[in-house]
Amino acid sequence: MSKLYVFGIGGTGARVLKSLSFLLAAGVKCNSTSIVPIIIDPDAANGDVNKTVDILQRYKSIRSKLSFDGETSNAFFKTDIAPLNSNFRLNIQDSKKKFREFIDYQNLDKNNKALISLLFSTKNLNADLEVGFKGNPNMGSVVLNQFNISKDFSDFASSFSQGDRIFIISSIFGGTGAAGFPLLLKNIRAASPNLDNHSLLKNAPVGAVSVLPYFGVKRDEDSDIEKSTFISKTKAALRYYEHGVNDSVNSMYYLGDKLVKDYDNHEGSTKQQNDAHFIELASALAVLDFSNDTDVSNQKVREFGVENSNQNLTFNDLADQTKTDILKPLSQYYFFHLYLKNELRQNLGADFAKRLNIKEPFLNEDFYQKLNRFNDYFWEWLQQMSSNERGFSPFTLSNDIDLFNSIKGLKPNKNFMFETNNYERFTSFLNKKAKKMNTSEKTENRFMEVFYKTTEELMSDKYKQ
Amino acid sequence: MKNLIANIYEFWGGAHLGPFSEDMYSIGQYFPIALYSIITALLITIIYYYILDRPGTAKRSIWLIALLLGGIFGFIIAFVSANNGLTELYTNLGVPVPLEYTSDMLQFSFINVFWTIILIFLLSITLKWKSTNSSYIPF
Repeated sequence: MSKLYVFGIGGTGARVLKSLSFLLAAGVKCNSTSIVPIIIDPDAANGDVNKTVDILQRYKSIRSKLSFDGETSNAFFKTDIAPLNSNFRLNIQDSKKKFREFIDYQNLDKNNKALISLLFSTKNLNADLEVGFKGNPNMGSVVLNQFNISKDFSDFASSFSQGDRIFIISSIFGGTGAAGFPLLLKNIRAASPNLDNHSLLKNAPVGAVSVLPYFGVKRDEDSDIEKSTFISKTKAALRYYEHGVNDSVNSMYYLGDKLVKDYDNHEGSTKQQNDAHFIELASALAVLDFSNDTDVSNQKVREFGVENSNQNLTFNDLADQTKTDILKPLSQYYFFHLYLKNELRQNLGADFAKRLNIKEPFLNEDFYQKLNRFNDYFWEWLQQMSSNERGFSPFTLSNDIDLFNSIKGLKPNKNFMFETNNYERFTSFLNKKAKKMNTSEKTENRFMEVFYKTTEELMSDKYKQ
Repeated sequence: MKNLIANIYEFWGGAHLGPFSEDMYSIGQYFPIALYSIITALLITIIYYYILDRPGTAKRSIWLIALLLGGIFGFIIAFVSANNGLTELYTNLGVPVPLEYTSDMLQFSFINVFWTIILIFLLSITLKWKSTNSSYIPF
């Protein structure tokens, strides 16, 4: 029973956790029995963070209704997501004030004030910490350097046990991630003796992904964030990481892309809701790669590559291993979502629904409602990745009847006789699978099990080589 | 067996059609009609539950159509067989088939429709369980 603590720092950290949730929901292999996501972002109202928290809470709630034992085939939502606290966040103390108040600038002596003016601009000093560090890691490194006095961090230390692992997600070109990652690492590797399990923490296997610039922001005179600084900030941070970080991490993943799209320039808060990006999916795969790595005792540095550098990637453009890891589960979940969205309600009279007791009231229950909303997020995630640059659009994202032609680059097999329409075939497979199922299970379990088995068989039946 | 089938068609005397029933019994026409009707009912049930069997046909309305089809076949089987048998009988006797037999044949054909439908219903209840898509049809 090993846990993987995944720290998502800043907006990128939150978005990678979002991608991770969808991969886990789809049943992508994860050797850890549970994932403990911990979001670190002082920007309390950050749109990306709040959306991720909502997704994680829905995942947790859906997962709590399911049980997994030796007889369960279902891999949808198989990995448990266990929060450290109710909002999945590591709360930063005193982060709701101006930076000058935080460092008690007023009461510094003349020499220290001079030093501060060397390190921080007047704009920095007057910055409101409530919206994050607006791309200023120099501020972040001061504010975030208080992990050891945070209650959430000590709760994390107390719950850490032998065999658990830690993974840290951050971007290198912003403020919160670039500053938070080395600090967090320092607080783990040099864990205070006051913390429970401090010796375990010091020697814990730690993996990290540092995301290099993969998007830009539109020029805005009123904003402190400027994309022209991204590369220089990255270079400076990489130089620091070379000596201050890389040696302390067991597995280091670097990810980036030359092709970038300029997003609207929002310094933070609710408006910061960047579209999902393939790099975030690749970062989430780094988390899973670390989780599934049987030997993390040696230091490793890993990069991620694709087979064809197309503007819009499909499954066929991915490297073989990545394709093997995600094609089947993501496609299964995609079919599952489409069926729920377009067909389930009309098919409550079908054999499988009657046999498994899936009736109208079930669709109004909290479990199904949460699943529905989670799936809407999944769909939005796919849509955003598809329209981003570089795009990842493995599916047609069409709601029409031609379900089996919706995986780009994969040609479905034709059946010899009685070619039924796509959804009818789906229903027929559901009926067939439901016949062999244990009806004593809870409805939620039966529901997920039948859809997992069916989509699995559809994948092997329709796309066998 | 011959008596049993005759009793079934005549509703144990309740639907005895006089000379028509006597003639049908004497030429042994009840048995082949019953046999063809049973085969038809069985075929329709098997085709519906195991050959056509798909989610689109797993509807009570489609099952009712199968039932209706069974009834139509039952009617045709009864009418044609009775007509052929009786025509042969009366041709051999050298007299025409009595005119009132037409309405008797119609009445008898409807009785066969009734029994064919009952049979399809019973076969449906018996055979539906193993059907992939239609095991909850008609209920």
